[in-house]
Amino acid sequence: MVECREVRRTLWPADGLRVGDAEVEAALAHAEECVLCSEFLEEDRRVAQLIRESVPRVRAPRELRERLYTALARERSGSPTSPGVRRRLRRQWAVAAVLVTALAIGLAGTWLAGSNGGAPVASAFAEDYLRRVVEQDELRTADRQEIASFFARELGVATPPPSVPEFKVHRATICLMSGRRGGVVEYESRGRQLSYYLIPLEGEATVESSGVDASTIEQASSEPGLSRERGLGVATWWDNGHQHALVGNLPAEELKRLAPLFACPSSRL
Amino acid sequence: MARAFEELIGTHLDDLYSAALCFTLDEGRAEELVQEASIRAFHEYPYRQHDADFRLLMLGALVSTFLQRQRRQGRDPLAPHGGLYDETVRSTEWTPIEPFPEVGSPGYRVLLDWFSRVWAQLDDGDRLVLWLADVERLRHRRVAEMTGLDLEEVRARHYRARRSLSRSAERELGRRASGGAKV
Repeated sequence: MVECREVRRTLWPADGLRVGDAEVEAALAHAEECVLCSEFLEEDRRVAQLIRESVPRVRAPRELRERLYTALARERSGSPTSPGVRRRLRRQWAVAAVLVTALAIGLAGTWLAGSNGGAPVASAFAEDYLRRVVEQDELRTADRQEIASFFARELGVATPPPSVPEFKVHRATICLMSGRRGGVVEYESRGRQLSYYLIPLEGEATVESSGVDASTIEQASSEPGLSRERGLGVATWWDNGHQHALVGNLPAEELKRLAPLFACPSSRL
Repeated sequence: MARAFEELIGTHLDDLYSAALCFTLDEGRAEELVQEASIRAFHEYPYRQHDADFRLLMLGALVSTFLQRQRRQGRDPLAPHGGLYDETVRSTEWTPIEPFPEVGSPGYRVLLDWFSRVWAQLDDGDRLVLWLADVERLRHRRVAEMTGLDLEEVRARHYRARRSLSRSAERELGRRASGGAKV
């Protein structure tokens, strides 16, 4: 004779999966006959359903999503500000700190003598500190070399953006594309705007280099800054380790013509 | 082919945030928990080849990060409570909810509303186990692996949490019935 307690112990939770062995078979046979046990199991199933239905499902805040993708991009790029890299570097920093202390003691005489030989070192530390604190994601400049330094620092890509006939560089920014951190260089010329996207695919599966694929997206936006008459041109291509795109209020064919300027690093030096 | 970590986490983020909110009962701490757990899981992900593992990987990271954070602050949600399953069953005597409202009826909606409000009143550890076992529908063995509890303790906590919710609902229905409210 199987006891109700044993049956409930064997068959609980009522909505769970279990192996149909002899003990389970006996318990199920008992539950079919026993009103109290079948009621217990039926209510348990209903309660489980209620629990699932009552769960407060909350949409993740947009800020969390953005912060998370930025943090992941930092991890992927191996930025020194990322926690993973910080952990790896902690030990090296400890060794470095000892060396720097020794060096500082060695240089103390020079400092006391009024030499300014330590200034570049101090400014490098200051720059690094500010970069970590501010996490710069925009640079307004027409200087391509300055942009190259900015991207080298933020993305690990040191190639300067190319000069484009008739167009002037005016800004570089950091973007997030499907969770990947990339760079955008903005050009303009007499009301014509052109943005060059460079997305490093570090750590991704190998991507084959590809030819330029250009298309025009008609009436892409009702914003006055985008020419609806011409449509929004987009040209995309891949090379080893990067995705590139040119986007602007230019015909797709013109973007395709400009793409080789961006595709060939030697043209930028 | 395995999809990018960022793409997968985008798909599961709302669920993970909901779980974190249930564990912590605080929006700010839930956000921190999701972010910290995601970074942790990110470093493990390259070693997992199947997308199907992703949710388990993330849940595991969420649970272990939550427990670590709590323990660092001197609070252990899974500190032994001394009750094995059989003892728990005895201590949480079953009284049926009678009559159990039909799905979709006003009484059922009262229960749903009540359940959603009393989740927060559960013991932290029981709430964690209840989420994993009932919402994520993980088997007890898997919950035990994820939390470090033994199997009997998982069963006991799961049972206690379910009973606690149903007894609370039963009392609420009784209160409304005696107060004349139609359920």
